[in-house]
Amino acid sequence: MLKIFICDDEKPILKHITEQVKKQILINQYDMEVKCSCESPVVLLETLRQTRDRGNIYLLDVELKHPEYDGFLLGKEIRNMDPQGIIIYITSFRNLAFKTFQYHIEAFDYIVMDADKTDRSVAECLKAVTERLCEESSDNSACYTFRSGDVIHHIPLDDILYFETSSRSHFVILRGKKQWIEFMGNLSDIADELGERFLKIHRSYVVAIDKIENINLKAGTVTVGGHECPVSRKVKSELLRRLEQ
Amino acid sequence: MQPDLFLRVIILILQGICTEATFIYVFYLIFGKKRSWRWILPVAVIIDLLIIPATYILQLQFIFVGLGQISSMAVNCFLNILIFLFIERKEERKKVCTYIILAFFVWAAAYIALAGIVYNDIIKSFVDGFIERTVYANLLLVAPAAVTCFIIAWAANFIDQKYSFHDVFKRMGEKLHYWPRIIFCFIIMAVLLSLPDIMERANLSIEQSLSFISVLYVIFVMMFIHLIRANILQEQKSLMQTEMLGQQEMYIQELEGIQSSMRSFRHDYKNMMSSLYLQSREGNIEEIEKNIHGLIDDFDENIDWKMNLTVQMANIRISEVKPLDLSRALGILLDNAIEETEKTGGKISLVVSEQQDTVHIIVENTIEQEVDLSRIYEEGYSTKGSGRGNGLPGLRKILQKYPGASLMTECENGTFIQRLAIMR
Repeated sequence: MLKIFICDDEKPILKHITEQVKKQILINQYDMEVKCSCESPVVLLETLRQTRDRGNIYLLDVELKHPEYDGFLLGKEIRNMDPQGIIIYITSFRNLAFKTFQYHIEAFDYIVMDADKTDRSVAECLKAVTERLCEESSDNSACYTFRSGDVIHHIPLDDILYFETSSRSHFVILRGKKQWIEFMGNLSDIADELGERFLKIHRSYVVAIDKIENINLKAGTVTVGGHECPVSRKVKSELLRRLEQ
Repeated sequence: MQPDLFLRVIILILQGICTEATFIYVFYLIFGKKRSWRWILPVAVIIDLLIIPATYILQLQFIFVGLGQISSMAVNCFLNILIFLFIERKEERKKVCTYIILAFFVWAAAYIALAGIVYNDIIKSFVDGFIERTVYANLLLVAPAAVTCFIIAWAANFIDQKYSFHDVFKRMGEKLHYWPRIIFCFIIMAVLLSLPDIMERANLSIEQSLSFISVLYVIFVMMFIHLIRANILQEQKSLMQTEMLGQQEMYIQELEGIQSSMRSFRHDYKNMMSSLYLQSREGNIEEIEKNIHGLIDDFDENIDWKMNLTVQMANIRISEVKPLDLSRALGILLDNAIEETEKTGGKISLVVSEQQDTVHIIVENTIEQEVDLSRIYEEGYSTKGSGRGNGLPGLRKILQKYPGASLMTECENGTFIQRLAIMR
């Protein structure tokens, strides 16, 4: 049973949204319930703190006029407490600043308050949420988590092809199927942290063993993700052993 | 005991390998290409085996005329030129020639400078002591050469890190572009390098004059490199300043544009207000509603948006990255996004946001085909045809200067996202 938290400091809007959400749950028989519907962000946070449910759905007003928490800060606080939660923003016009929310809070979507469009917006939004949750549950992969500056990245291990040292000292580059990230790190520590699926084949390369496409023993290289990585002689036998497993 | 011919040849060959290898190393540092020692050593052996016979014979022939050293060095240099013209046959010939001569000069000067110091009297008597006992001890003579070469290679590497031989000598190479000049320098170099030899013939104290001249050489070369380097830096600086001025020009034009929009808007606004006043006197509510709505829209579209941007942008301060580098970096990111979406009519979104200690700049654009993330940061790789592909590698180079700046690229579901984070 998914819990939904709604927060908007304008009473009529709060009422309207809550009603719509309840209606959609009923019509579509979603496995959800509205746990909290409040005008104050403090109340929402308190409720969240007291419950142990996580991975909830949150509908927040973009323009909260609270001295401590505006829409953005509330979203950040919720994201800290519930990393897996789905955060949706309620806005009164097509807010182009939504991109910022997307990047810094990983907001899922936004609902536009505009006469007749609201109800449809709510319906579509909830539908998208259920679809996303379906996808996520079948995608239960472990992630490699690291910090780059003040941003924390979670990259599914499945996506990672290899790590290599960067021409910048103390920096390493993560090469993934859809990513290229340069961050401060140390290859040996990374190799230790990642365990079985990865191997440090060279002083400049840590490779995902199951992503190796091709080995050239003579030249002493392996091909991962279309890129040739050298293998140091000492590791060759270890590499072959791991590959056979 | 005097070594026989065979032993002498072996010693010459071994010394030759050391010197040739170091020479090749210095040459490639100046040339700007990367060659591993694994490549250099075998090639050095081959070249050495080719050259040593030639130079030895010449030394014997000309030793009576007193030009032994000059000719052997000249022939050595000349043969090296021929061989490298072949090895690097894909490169411009003049370039290879000039660089070989420059490399030879640098290397030979360094060698003469150091050889005297390394193979000094103490070591000499030590080696001589061994030679008394067995003729094979002559092989020990290879050691000073090897040590000298090692020191030269190490020093060259060290200096290259600070001064980039390639940049400096490229400059010099540009001045030497014509064949007559190249040949002239060749002759001058050959004469200069044979000075010690000539002085020896003139019976001056060998070691002293050698050391003196060689120290002079080294100082001269270092000064020269330093001067050229300063020259390069100066040029770069003035180039940067010109660029910055250009940027500021554009910014001022933008601001002036906003000002003139505002002026024309004020004019329209006044007209609107007058007609609204008249309509309100007539009591035509519907018309009034429509006109006010139009007024608000107009304002939003024309002025508010631009003004908002200017005001909002002023809220964000980036002091860690120099303005020119920042605008270049942004330029590269935006150029890429624009070029991609221009033809396909896709969307670009640009977010500049300051969170706590970090400023995030995010450029996102829609893409038609998948991007090969492993190659986009390679020099020269481009999906837009040849002669392109230097934007992103250039971006990385700029960012390398700033340890607080990091770059992250993602490519998913038809969207390409570049994130630049700059920390305080």
